[in-house]
Amino acid sequence: MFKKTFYKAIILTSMAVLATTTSCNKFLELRPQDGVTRDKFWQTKEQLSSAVVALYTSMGGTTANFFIWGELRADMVIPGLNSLQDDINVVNNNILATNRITSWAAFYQVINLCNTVLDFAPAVIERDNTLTREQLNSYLAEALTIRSIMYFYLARTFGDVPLKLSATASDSDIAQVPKNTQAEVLNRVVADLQTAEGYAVSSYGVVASDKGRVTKFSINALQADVYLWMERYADCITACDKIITSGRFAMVPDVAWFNNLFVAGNSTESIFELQFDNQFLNPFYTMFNIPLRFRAPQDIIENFWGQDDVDPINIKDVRGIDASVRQSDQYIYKYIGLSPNTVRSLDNSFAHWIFYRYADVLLMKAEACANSNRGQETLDIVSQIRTRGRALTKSSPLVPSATDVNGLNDYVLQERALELAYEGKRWYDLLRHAKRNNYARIDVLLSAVVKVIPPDAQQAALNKLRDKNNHYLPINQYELQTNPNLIQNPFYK
Amino acid sequence: MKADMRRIFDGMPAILLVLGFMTIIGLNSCKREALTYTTTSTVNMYTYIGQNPDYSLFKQIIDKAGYAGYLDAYGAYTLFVSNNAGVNAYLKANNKTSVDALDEATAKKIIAVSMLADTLNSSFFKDGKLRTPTQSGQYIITGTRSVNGVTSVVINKQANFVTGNIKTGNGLIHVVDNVLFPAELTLAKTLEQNPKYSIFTTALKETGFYDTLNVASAANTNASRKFLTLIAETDSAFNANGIANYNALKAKYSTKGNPRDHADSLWLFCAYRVWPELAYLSDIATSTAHATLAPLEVTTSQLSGQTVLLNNDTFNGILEPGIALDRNNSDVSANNGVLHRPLGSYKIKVRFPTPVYFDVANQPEIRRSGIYRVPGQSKIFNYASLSEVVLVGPANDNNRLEYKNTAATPGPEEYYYGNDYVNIGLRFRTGANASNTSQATFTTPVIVKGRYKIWVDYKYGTGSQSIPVSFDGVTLPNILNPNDALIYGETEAQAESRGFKSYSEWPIASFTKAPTHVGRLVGIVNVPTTARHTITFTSTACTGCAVQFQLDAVEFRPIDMDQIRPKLGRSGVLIP
Repeated sequence: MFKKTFYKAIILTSMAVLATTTSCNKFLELRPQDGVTRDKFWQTKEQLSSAVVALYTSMGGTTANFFIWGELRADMVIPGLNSLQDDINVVNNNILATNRITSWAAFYQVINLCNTVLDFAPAVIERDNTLTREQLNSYLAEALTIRSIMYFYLARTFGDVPLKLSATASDSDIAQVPKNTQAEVLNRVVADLQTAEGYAVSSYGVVASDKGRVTKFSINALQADVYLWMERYADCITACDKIITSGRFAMVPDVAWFNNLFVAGNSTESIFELQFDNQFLNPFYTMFNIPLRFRAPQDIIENFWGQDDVDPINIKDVRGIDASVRQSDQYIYKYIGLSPNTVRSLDNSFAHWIFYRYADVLLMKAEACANSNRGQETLDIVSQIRTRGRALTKSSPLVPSATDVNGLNDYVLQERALELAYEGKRWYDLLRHAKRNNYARIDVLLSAVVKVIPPDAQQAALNKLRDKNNHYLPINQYELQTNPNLIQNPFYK
Repeated sequence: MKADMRRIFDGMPAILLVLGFMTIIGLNSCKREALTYTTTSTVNMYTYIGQNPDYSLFKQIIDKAGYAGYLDAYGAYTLFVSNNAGVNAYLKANNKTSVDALDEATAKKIIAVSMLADTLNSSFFKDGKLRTPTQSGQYIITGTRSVNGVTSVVINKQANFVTGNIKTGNGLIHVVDNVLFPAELTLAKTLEQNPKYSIFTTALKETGFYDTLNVASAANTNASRKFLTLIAETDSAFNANGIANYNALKAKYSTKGNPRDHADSLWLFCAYRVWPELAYLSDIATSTAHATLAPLEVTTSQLSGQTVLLNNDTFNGILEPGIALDRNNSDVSANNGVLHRPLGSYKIKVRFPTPVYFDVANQPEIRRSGIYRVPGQSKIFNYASLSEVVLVGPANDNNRLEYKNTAATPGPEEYYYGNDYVNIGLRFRTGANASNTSQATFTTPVIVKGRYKIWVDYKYGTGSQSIPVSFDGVTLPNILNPNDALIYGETEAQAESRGFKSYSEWPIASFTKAPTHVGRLVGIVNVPTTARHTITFTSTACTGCAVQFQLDAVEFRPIDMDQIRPKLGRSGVLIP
């Protein structure tokens, strides 16, 4: 009897033990099957690395806007047969808050990913002993720089934008942030880039990474651009000189201009470009191919790079016909061409998006020199670029004197358009020149844009451009509705 | 009776019970359930205006006009509402103390010109008129004004746009800072009131156009003359041309002595300045030709930079500079049209029919492509790339014009005009096949009005098919077939009598075969106006037919000139 009770007790106890110990398997605990939660992530340097690489991938969502914001309001793009009404309204300078081109959502998504890395990466070094301080800093530099790129775009496009510097990692982090001024945003960008420059590496040892990931030099190029926008010319020249004297970059030869820079990509001239490949296509196939969402105006195709009167076939600017544009169908050709006659197919649509290349840096330096009494350097640099591009005299007939500041600025602006056509720079170039010295040169903007606005909207569009608040886009309706702390930009109230 | 009473009392508890229940039910049923019966809380225009105290005076105007019910009925409207400051400014300008002092007719006019039966948000505001007229029949014009770097949108040149795109249940409301009111005067009266136009006003009176221009559009029974566009020269413009007063003008132009005679040049001078359409500057800038009241005389127009030019035409290779319109003093609305002021004297150009040898490859895009008439070069221009050619076919690169030059030394049988030609489409045939172009329409150079024979010049033997040709959309009598040939040995007169000719400089003596460059007479046309016209080639070949159409030139020869000579030379010049 006692024995029986004893066995019973043993069985019961062991069952109880079994039940309690197996409960440690947590088969009732729910974890997402298709992802990793934060407390499981941020453990190893491999995880950190993948989080940083994801920052570049996330810029796939903003690439179309790099082009659209940078070109559509300027004078080198017109709507094609397949453009959206929103595109046409932007060209006509008839932009409402409901226009989908004013959506900045993709940019703040990238910013949030950067913030996430910046917030959580520092803790990884305590969990993974194999992660070195240098490696961690290099990752932080990448996140800081990409965030700075985003804010630089936003500040140039919208003027004042909310500066969100911490991650939105859970529902409790969602905040309705008011706008900061453009100056505040730019100052933050300058500070971040300074930090990043100290953290970043000069080379990863692999060409694709050197061109495709943030290095010291991509930071310098971005700094030059930011300083130029802020009219801090001495700082701009310093940043450019860091790249020029590094000895790591050179301009590609004239014959290989199109092929090396855009078809092959990652050229010696390239400083920082977003890497697309057949697993990660760029958005340009549907934008520039038939049935043409965007195309080049006939006037640009025929007259901008100019044509030689005697031998137009052989004597021509290598950057013009069949490179930047294609004549027979008004294609914007840089990102969709393989050769003069072959267009990329959809599965080949992975031309890289070039943020900065050496010629761009030289021209930024030329512009800074023009505005700091170093006109002869400006002339030398532009001459160097024009020789490489086999430019015709027609495309920039008036060479200014070394002391004519306005003339030098026009000369550089024209050369930037010839060299960097359709690389998402034109509108910002025009605006930068127009706004210099408190909008002293607003005529630059007006005379350029007048060429592409349809006749029935021309006067209205020009008069709107005379108002400097019109140079920045309105905040999208959706953002205004979801964030009551945002105030619509002044022109669009 | 007693028994009855007892029965009633016996039943009392039951009745009480029932009454009690009914009371409970009744009491409970008094609790209304809060159900929403509307699908939206958006109000209609009139209610919206009533809810906003800043529009209270405009509401009074609506009440005065009796349009309150109308503006609260469902529909799709756009309404320009003036805020109170605007209404006060309007009242002050009209010496009224309150809205009550306005009469009902004025209130009705104000509302009628402020409202249109369309929903137009502010992205529809361009230069010039909105696409839909207001209830008054007059169009609202929009524009922008820039003062000290601040740009505002201006409505009807009367009010500034304050805020807009307010959605209500029956349309959109835009708020403006002044009351919109319709133009009261006719074009004739508008002109007469302005002393700067005294010479031209007299001319209009003398020629009878004053009466034409003095009919309010609402009162006009002629539907095509409800709205007119008047190009009026100022006295100073006349003076600059040496015309000091009306008598000098009459002396210069009145050829018959009677300005009311429709053949009198002064009558034509005035008629040419009246266009039977409502064309604001933006309309003039966007269309290329405008009919006038002068019979069959058109005015061409274009936008050059920011300047709107009239009659800026290239004729026979020479640019005849046009007359600019004065932006600041144009776009003056009247109740039957719009008034513009030219910056010079613009007049009918007297021209006589002259032949036009239209090299179809002479397209602006081809000309500027760098290979125009460069030996050995060819290039494909797809359907979307040529501004003056319309190709019907699928949206791909096979729907195209192929521009070709012969080699520096042309082949033995190549006698193309200018040594170049075009192939229309990869295949010129019907159907939706991806290689097909089924129709091509070319815009001709300027052809002076008159009677012409049209010759189509092609290369023989690119595939048999009947190609109907039409001029300005009217089909011509003769059908073209690229496989129709000249006959070896026939004389030029014989060929012409059949409607064929050798248009090229093909030396008949050195060949033992007929020329393969064939000119085909497709018909005789009356070209109604001196302007650019269109010529259309339509394929009839089957979807799978291996046919092309190699077109060299189209000749428009006045009917009374030699139809064979001059011939079209290989070097691009005419061979007498």
